[in-house]
Parts: sequence; structure tokens; C-alpha cells
Amino acid sequence: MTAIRFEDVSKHYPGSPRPAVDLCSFAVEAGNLVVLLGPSGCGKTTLLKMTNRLVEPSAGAVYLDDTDVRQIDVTSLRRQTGYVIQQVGLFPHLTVAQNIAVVPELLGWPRPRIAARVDELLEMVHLVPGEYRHRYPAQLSGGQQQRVGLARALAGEPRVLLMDEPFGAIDAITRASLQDELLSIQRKLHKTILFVTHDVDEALRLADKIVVMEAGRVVQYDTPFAVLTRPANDFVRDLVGADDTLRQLSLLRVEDAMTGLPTGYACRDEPAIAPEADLRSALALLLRTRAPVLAVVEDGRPVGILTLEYIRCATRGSGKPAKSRSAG
Amino acid sequence: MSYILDNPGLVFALALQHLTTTGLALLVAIILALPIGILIAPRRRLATLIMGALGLLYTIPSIALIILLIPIFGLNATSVIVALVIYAQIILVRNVVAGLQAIDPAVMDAARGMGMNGWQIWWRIQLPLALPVILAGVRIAVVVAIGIATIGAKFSAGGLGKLLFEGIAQAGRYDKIWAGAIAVGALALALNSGLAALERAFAVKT
Amino acid sequence: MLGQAFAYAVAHLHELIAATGQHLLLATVALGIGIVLCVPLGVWTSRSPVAAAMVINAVNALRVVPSLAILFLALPYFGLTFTSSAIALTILALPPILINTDAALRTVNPAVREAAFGMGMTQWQVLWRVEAPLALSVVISGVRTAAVEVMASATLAAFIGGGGLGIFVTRGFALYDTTILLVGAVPVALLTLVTELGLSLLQRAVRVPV
Repeated sequence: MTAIRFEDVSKHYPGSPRPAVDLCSFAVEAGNLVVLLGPSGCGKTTLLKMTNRLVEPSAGAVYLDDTDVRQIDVTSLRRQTGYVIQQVGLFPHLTVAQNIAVVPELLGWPRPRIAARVDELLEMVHLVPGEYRHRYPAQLSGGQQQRVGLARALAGEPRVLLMDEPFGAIDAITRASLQDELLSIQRKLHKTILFVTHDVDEALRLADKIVVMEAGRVVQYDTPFAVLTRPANDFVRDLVGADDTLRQLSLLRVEDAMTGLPTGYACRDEPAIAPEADLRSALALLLRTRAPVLAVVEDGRPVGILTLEYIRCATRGSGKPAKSRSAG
Repeated sequence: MSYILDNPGLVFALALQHLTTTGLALLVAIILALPIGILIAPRRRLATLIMGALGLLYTIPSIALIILLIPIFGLNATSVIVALVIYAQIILVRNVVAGLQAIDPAVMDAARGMGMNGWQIWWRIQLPLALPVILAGVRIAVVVAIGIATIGAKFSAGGLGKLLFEGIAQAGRYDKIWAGAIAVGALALALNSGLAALERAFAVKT
Repeated sequence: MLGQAFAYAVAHLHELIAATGQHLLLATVALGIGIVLCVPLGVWTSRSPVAAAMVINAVNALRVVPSLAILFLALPYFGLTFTSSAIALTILALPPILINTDAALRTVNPAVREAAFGMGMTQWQVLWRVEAPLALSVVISGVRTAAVEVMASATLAAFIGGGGLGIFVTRGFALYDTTILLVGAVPVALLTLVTELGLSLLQRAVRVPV
């Protein structure tokens, strides 16, 4: 089911020679995390802000669950879309709990439900409610502030979540752990998320699908695997570093390259690797153990196998080796 | 306005008197404020304490402060000048302290590390960096002093305030009120813009 | 001399109380009108660069003109009355309140405002629930400056028939009696100090944690 749809959306700012957004069309499936990726000034943030009407398109339309967003009252639209920005924008005069409670209050939830929701969300973003509920934003680190920002955006049970470079101002280590948490939250909630970033690694790591943008246009809309292995043009190739094989390997997941267990195949003592591990570690494991085959193991159960040949094919973007395709 | 045109000499003399009173008070205040500011700026606790006390003193209305000084200095221009020095003093000390405290400690460390002595650090680093803020203090102090000196006319300190008080006392002499108001307003605005220009000239280039 | 002043004050207690009441009334009226006019005006100038350039510059120039001149200029137009003083004092109250309201709203972090709009707050809700609490402390600081200014200048209002504690000052000058001058000066000094301290406490109470 389509959750968000952009139809020939353009945005011209007066006095600017070229449109900030130029005839963009794509659809986001419900429950997907779609990343808008591109260099600064490519129009990705403008596009995002059209979803909650912080920016109105000059032409074209944005649909939320098949309703033109212009048909929805702007405040009610924004209350059903969570919004997270790079500068976080927590309200400095309100405590953590009060910040998270803002949208539920605007929506008129009863008090006990709001209190329960606040605690539930604090736990979800790994901030112990008893410890953080009554703190003020100024008493939190940058990473903690963005956790609260995420909790606040989710508080009103929004239909979609819009995230504008949410981890851009956070140090690399904290950023990685926030990315992990976003993924684990997403596995639980299955929200529809639009996520803007200029960080290729972040995009490949988080996205179900990536919208690559250049100068206001969508140049490729595809899975991370396809963007990396079959870039639509030289711009995308340079942007994602598709020519750097080692980098590619570190960004591709085992599950993208492996093949299912061939019928009758019994695992013996092959080295095991997890499906979400990257191909770079898989290759390292192959080289180190000198084993010809790796067993892909999920929850203690073998789900597939991986050989050097599959890794080679993955980097070439040609999918699976010919024989596995015929076998499957 | 016509009063000024009819009596240019008188208005000019009063303006000069106004400036002399203000200038004298400012001079004394600057001579006092610089050492006090330099002394307390590095001692943050002391500075906060003294600035708090001076802030309260600053709150007292000028006419009340002048009157409170009468038992000591008498009902004459001296009480007015002392009051002017006190108010200007507060503004100047505040800005000297603010200007000095705003200097990046790393700059001071670097200066010390290069082997400058205290005097050299003051002349070559602290004064140039703090100067714009100190000059802003001088400008505000001048504007405030011009205003208080106007009231001082009632305490026989002379100046343009005389025109205002005479205009009130002599029924119907609104021309004197206007003349005094225009002259003193123009004086304050002119000094304010002149000193603001000076401030910009000495601003640290960034 | 202070002892004599105290004796005079006790002897004229009713008059002193009435004058204090009128002093406070004058100041409150001027401050009240100043707030009602300048807070909305400050909201407007903070959102409009053109309005800000015009109004703030005008008000800054107004601030430089000595208060005595502004006060006495009310006389030719409104006569020797309470109204005359109230209007002049209101003009003196305008600049600090306007400038602080404008500055306070300008310093609200744009990200906070964007987040508020992004969460679906209306213009009014953003102003009332986000900007107002964040700006309040600085606005009150402007009101404090204005209050002290008005409280002080209300003493001069007696010269243009506004009454208040300044009547003892005018009488002191008329009779050339320092004792009576002090009866005006000491309560005025105390009133401004109390105003300053009270509003400082209020300002501190509404300050946003940092």
C-alpha cells in the first residue's frame, strides 16, 4: 500500500534561476524507510517539508494515504506526521516529559494515557524514565536530546515520520548507536519514514529504498543494493563510491548476496555469519578460515550459504550467479 | 525653535555649560573606573558582588540621589557633579569589566606564553580588545550624564535644563521649553552618534 | 537633617501616603499602557525586518533624549495635569519594553520554532506555548528597566502638575528647604529599589533552565 506519493512536484523560489525541486515523482510504501539522499542544495529537505506543508509545492501534489495533503487541515496534518530535525528543537522551557507530551496534549489525549505514553517512549529510546522524565533539555547530551526528539516525534502515534538529517550534528559513535536504535524501533513499529541525509553510509545502512537527488531531480529510486551495484549514472556512481569495491563490500549485507539453502544441503562445520553482517566481514572470514563456503545463520538456524562467487556477483550488481538463478 | 534663533548666544552658552559639567564628571569617572575595573575584572566573585551593589545604586533616581547628596555637599553644583560621577562610574566599571572578561582566556595564555609582562599584556592585548566595549560604556555614560545634568539645572548647576525649568516656572513660556528640549535632545543625539562612530572605528575586525 | 526630614514626614503622614499612592498610580498607568502597546508591537517588529528597522531605530533615538525634556514637552499640549504626566511617562516606558520584546523573540532558536510548527501547532499556539515562555524573562527585564525609569521620572512629574512624591521636591525648592526635599527623595529611592528587586526576582523565577 502506498503511504506517501509525490506526483510531478516542483518548487520554484522567486529570484532563483532554477527550481529547487523539479518534477519529482515517486511513491513510498507503507512501513518502508525511504532515504532522500543527495548533496546539500539538491532539494531533498524541500521535498521532505512538502509532506507536512512547511513548504508548499509550486506545482504537482503530495498525497498522504491517497489524500492530497492540501485537503488536510495543516495543523491536523502535522499532528499526524512526526517531525525530527537536525537541530532537534526541543523546547528549552519544558522538561523531557513535557516535550514528549506536546502532541498528545494538542490531540487532547487524557492525562493518564499521556503519562503512560511518555514512559513507554522513553524506554523505547533507552532513557530511564525515572531518571530523565524531569530533566530539562539543557541537561542532556546531544545524543540524548535527539533521542528525546525522536520520542517526541513518535508520541502522537503519527502515520508517517519525517526526519531531516536527524543525526547530522552528532558524533560518529553516538550516531551509529542512534542508527541502530532507529532500525530496531522500526522493526517493532513499521512506520513509514522519510529520512533526509547527505551521508551515503547512513543512507545505505538505514534505507529500504533510496531516492538519489541531484539539482532538484530524482535521478534514481531503488534499493540500497541496486543503487550501489547498478548506479543510474555517473553522478550516482561517484556519490555512492560504486567503484570502490572494498567500500561497497562494507555497505552490502550478507542477505543481499547469499542464496537460500540448496535442497538437501546439510551444514557441517562451515564458518557461520549473520545475514545482517556486511560482505566485507564475510570476505575476511572466507579468507581467514580458507573455507570455500560460509553458512548464513539466523537465530541459530542456517538460512543460506555464501561463497566467493556470490560476493563477486553482488559487487558487480548482477544479482546471483547464473546457476543459482536457474536453481531458484 | 524661534527662541533658539533669537537667542543663539544664550543657548550656546548654556550648551557649553552643560558640556563642561558633563565632561568634568566624565573625566573624573573614567580616571576612577579604569583602575577599579581592571582590579575587579579577574576576580569574578568580587566583580559580581560589586556590580550587584553598583546596580542597586544605579537604580536610585538621579533627582533623589542628588538630593541625598545635599546634606554632604550642599545645595549646589557639587552635589550634581558628584551624582554624575557616581552614575557614569557605574556604567563605566560595568563595561570595563565586561570588556575585559569577554577576552578569550586562550589569548591571554598565548600572550603570557610569548613572554609579555603584565603591562605589555594590558597595552597590547587587553586594552585594544576591550576598547570597543569600554567606548560603548563611555557613550552610554555621556547620554545618561547629559540627561542628569538637565535635571541639575534645578540645583543651580546651570546648563540647558535652565531653559526647561524657566519655561515651566514662567507660565506660557512654552518657547523656552521647546528651545531647551530641542537643544538638549540634539546635544544628546549628536554625542551619541559621534561616539557610536568612534566605537565602530575601534571595533576589532572580525 | 534626616531626623528633621523624618519628623516632617510624620507630621505630614496623610499627605505622604496620598502622594505615594498617586506616584504608584502614575507609574502603574504608564507602565500598563506601555506593556499593552509595546508587547504586541515588539511581536510585530520581531517578525518584520522593515518594521524593526523603522520602529527600533526611532525608539532608540527616543531613548537618548533626556527624560526631563520629554516630560516637560507634554505640558504645552496637555496642561498641568495628571494626564499630561501619564502620557509623558508612558512615552518613557515604551523603549525598553519594545526593544526587549523584539530582542527576546528574535533570540528564540529557529529550530525550536520549526519543531513547533512541524508538530502541528497553530501560529497562536507557537506564540503562546513556545515563544512567550521563552521570551518572558527578557521581556520582564525590559519591563523592569521601564518601571525603574518611570518610577524615577514620576518624581519630575510634580513639576508639570502630575502630583506624586515629587510634590515634596517642588515644595522643597520653593521653600528652599532641604529637609522637605529629602521627604520626597528617600521614599522615591526606596520605591525604585523595591521595584527593581521585585521585578528581578520575578525575572529570575520565569527564567528558562540552561
